[in-house]
Amino acid sequence: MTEPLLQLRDLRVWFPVGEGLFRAKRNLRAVDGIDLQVAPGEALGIVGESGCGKSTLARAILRLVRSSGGQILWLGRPIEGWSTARVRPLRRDMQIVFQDPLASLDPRMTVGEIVAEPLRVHARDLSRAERRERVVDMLARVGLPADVVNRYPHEFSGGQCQRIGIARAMVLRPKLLVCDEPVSALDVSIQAQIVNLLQDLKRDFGMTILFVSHNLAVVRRLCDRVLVLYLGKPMELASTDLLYSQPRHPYTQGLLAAVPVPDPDLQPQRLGGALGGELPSPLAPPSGCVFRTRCAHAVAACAAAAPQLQPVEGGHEVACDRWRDIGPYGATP
Amino acid sequence: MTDQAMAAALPAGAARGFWADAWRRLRRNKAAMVAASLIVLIALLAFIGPTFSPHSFDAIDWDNMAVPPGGPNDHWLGTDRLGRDLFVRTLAGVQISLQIGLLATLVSLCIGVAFGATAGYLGGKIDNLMMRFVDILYSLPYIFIVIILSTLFERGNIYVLFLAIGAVGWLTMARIVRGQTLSLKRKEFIEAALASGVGTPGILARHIVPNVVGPVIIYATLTIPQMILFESFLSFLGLGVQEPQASLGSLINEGAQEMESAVWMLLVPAGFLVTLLTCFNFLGDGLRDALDPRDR
Amino acid sequence: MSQADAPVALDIDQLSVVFDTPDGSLAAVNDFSLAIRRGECVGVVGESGAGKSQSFLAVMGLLAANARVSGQARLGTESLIGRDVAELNRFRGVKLSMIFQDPMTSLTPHMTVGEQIAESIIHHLGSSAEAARARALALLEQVQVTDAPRRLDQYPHELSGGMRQRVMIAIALACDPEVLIADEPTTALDVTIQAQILALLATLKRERGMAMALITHDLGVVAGIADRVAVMYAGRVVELGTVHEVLKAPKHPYTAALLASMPRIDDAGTGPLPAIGGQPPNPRRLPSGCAFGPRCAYADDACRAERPSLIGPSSIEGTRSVACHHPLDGTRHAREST
Repeated sequence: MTEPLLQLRDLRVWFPVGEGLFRAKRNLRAVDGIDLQVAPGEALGIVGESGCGKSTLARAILRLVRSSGGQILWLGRPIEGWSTARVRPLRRDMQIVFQDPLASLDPRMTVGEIVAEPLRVHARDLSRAERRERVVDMLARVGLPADVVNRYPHEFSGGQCQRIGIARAMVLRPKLLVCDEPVSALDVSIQAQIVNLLQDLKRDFGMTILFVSHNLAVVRRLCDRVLVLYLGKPMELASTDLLYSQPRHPYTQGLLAAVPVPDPDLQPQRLGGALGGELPSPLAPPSGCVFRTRCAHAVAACAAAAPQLQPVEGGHEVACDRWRDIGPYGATP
Repeated sequence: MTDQAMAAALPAGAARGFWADAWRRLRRNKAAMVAASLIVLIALLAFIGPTFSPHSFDAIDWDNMAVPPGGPNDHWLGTDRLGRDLFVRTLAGVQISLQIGLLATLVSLCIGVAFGATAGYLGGKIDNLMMRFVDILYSLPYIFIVIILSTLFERGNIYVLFLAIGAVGWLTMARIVRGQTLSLKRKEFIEAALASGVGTPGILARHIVPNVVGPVIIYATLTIPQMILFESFLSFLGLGVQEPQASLGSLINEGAQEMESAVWMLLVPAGFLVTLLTCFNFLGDGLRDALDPRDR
Repeated sequence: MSQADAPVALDIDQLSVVFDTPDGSLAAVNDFSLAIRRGECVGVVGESGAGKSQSFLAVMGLLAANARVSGQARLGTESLIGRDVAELNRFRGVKLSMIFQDPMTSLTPHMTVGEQIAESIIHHLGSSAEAARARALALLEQVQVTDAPRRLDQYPHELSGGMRQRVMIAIALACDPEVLIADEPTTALDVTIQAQILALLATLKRERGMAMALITHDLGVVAGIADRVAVMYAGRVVELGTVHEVLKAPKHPYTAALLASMPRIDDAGTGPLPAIGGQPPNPRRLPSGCAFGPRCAYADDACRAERPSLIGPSSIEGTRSVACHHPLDGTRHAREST
């Protein structure tokens, strides 16, 4: 295997909360001990419910939030302690596409200015004409005609705005593209367009994709590997094929069973098997295995020690001490 | 490659920027448009009107002292107790009041926007420190500062005085801009700029300031009449412009003393003042609707 | 279908909604007709701007002041359109309830959960405070709120999104409504909570025999609990039928294309999705003829010339209708032939 593009070692992001004169300082453990290697050209899905830390993890990798512990290695170099100024040149190679397409575009800038902004920062030697050419090329690549450069974001639909956001992220041909719920805010008929566009771009430019999403169906379509998070901790990590066909962790199994399928023969039964309970407060996570309060298979031992990711087969890892007893759950062929 | 065909369905019509949109909305607002025209009209009148009158603002007409408007002479709006032409004097007063209002607003605008955007964007301890400084300035009695300033400067140098007033009057502007910046800071497009590697000065200049321009213009438009009113108040107290110069405030002061015998000496400058203030307030209101359509 | 002979609870007939805006009038809903029987759940599916929410907000009398509503909607024998607020309030929250997407903004922040449920009971049913509180507790238990006695005295911000939606449902059920309108009730929730709420709604429908309209953009949500489905596009119903008919053998190319373009959790395919091209139409500039025509693989001159009307048995009889010049025969799927 080639050198990983990105490595995380026990990465933690804790936010201090409730700091006050008379209150004890507590930590919200948004991301709590993630180990991960991402190979160049890979599409890794990061899934979980809201509050599982998936967006925070993505932002910590991009150094948009500061990590509290552990290491981030970019092409083998630890970057987690670097100053903002020192990180800046790296941003050329790591870009992000946001969830809300309109909110991620400055309303006072034209589309041309928006897409050109990364070039202004990282490719200062480009002439105005060259810059414009790069912008128009990239816009064409995401399916927008050249005459959009003088228009403003509010004139476009959600799907078109997301194309503009993707063009901005891709104009520097980054090595890593982080997509933070890029299709969640879009209409159903537009989601497929954007998924296809990301697939096309990945095929043509070969960049690595970190695809953060709660939409497990889209992740299955787009990603090579998937990391499942719950309360900031890794639950399961596996190739897409294995994760969806033989999910090992009870949480993954519950999550997959909860996704609705547009088939009236299957869906009513699927509703019956819904995972019970709710996400515990991230300020007071359960002892031991954080998922045990919602787990149908939990035993007394689960409260004692937090299970670590352990290998199953072929790179499939699961953070459950009882995975052998539970067995794979083949609800999704 | 079907993407071109997919996304080609673009909105028709010319590109409409934020300003074009705002202008379109403002034009629909009749009250604001009438107010804006009146302000332009009064300003034009103030600067070129006096040339049509044979009188100068400080010339004394010994034959026509304290004559009411419409008399058999060429004093169109009458004269004051000293026989000075009220038309010319009032317009000279409007000139000074407008200049002072604009100058003081401009000064408070520059300081306020820079201060507020910096404090709001940097946040944390720096923001805390900067805003506590504003709080302290707020708690100082404004009028005493101005009175002290007016005794320090040579009497009658009203521009220096209002430079100073503008320098104190930026506090509210700074608070408004800081609040706007705080909410902008959390927007995804700022995060997008950060992720692109744009530095702090770039984010402030290219993303924050252009996005606070709307509220700033609205507040500035509403500050101008405040400053005019404040000048009138100082002149009324005798701290503003000195004889034979005239401002709307000093004219109203003189007029108030003659109210029982020569009411026009009060009504003429007061009419101009009230009209100007009303117009600025209507315009500010219209701009608020035009620049901030969410609040409609 | 056991519901087929049940009496009609909510009968919407030729409903249209037009908004007067500074830029001219905007037709949000056109000729919307739908009859929902007791014990039946009808899924109303469409993308944003399809008019699915506006139709039911019009029925509830909850549209903004610049909306003009025409047509008819009857709750039993009572007409709902054109009534003033005082008259509508005899039905709203009593016989006709609605729950919304965002359970936070639909609850009053300064009142406890118990007070909010009891308020409706006292107001509409004239119960005593104690009786209302007891009923509030019973309702919370019925919507499967855990630890219900303690929740009664909590404020909305102390509850999770899923709990708040359960509270909203409890309030909606307080007066035993005949009709429940659920407007994207699970869109703001996580998938596991969504599954719980959908299972709850299915149970409530079954046990109470309510008529239910479930407004959603997600065909998967509809598949689990709806008996019939109405698919809307650009302010009109384009297809109506039982959930099996519509989802298993769609007749309208839009329904078929939408189903085909959705990535499915149980589909191991990795190639490009058969996406629908173009953008949903701008309601101010609807294309001539069929509104879906410019995005449709089967569109021809007839589709561009004339808008197809919704053909089929009347909605009261409850089977298939479709608004298309070239309806699919149910065996081929959209895009297969292109």
